[in-house]
Amino acid sequence: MKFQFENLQQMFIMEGHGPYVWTAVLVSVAMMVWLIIKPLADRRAALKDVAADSARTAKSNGET
Amino acid sequence: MNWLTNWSPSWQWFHRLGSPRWFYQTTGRWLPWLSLLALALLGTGLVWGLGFAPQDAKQGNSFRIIYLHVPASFLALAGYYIMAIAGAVGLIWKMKLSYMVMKSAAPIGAVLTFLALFTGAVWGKPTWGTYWVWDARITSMLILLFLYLGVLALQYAFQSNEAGNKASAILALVGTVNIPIIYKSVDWWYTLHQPATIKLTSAPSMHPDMFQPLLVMILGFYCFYVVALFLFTRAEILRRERKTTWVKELVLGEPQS
Repeated sequence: MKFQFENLQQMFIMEGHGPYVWTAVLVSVAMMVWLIIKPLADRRAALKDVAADSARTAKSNGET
Repeated sequence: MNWLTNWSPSWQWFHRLGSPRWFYQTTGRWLPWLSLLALALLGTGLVWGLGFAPQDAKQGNSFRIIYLHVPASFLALAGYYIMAIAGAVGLIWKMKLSYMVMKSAAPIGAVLTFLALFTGAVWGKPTWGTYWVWDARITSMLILLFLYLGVLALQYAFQSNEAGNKASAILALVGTVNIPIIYKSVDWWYTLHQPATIKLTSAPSMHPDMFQPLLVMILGFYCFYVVALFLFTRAEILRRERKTTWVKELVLGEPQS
């Protein structure tokens, strides 16, 4: 197995096909990262909700 | 390994599998390892495919897009099975968790289908001279995207969760007719899209030096899919089960940041 390009710059250009290949790579990586970040943010929001709920219940129990 | 010893005498294992709490706890243990595996496979496959695989004799370097296009298309289709089967299980056994899996599979499938179409378009430009053609394979993939979006939209179109779940599940099941059409489209209508490179029934029509990194990428996408599905389902579980004792205990036990 050998590296197919003379250097990293050549790999970036890819004999003219670079823009197509790297656009595909960037968009794919960006959307896949979103697929990980989105549910993590949702989970965090849900946990915060539950915590706020518990705090409210605890407070109202303390008042009565 | 309790679940292995307990499963035979009754349907207990089935009920446990349907328990959101059990799912949440079990996937929590698997996630770190699966994520690591997905990252390692995708990283290796991408560097291998983009830098070390030989270029295609006819297409040159643009062919390297295959390392994203084919895995994304694979999982866009596999994800549809997951969504439709989860919907069917939900309809038949009224299993809450199954509906949550179905709902979670929809955005992931939509993104992967979009990626299959997008990477196909930027591959098409240098190869066919056009970003888009109304070829049978491409059109049926576009329908797949609409099916995913339809399932997602139906979730929010009803006042009650249950009605939304049922409607989504039925659409998902009806939409499965599209799957064989996608698979067969390249054989039935011989248009622009090339026939399948990889078939289960025969050797790949591809040099091993090109095929091996593709295999690594496909495995990586499978692992990634499972990680994403777990993450979406876990978030959905917490949202739907927020009034239950186990979720409250979970929050109290976990230091908030």
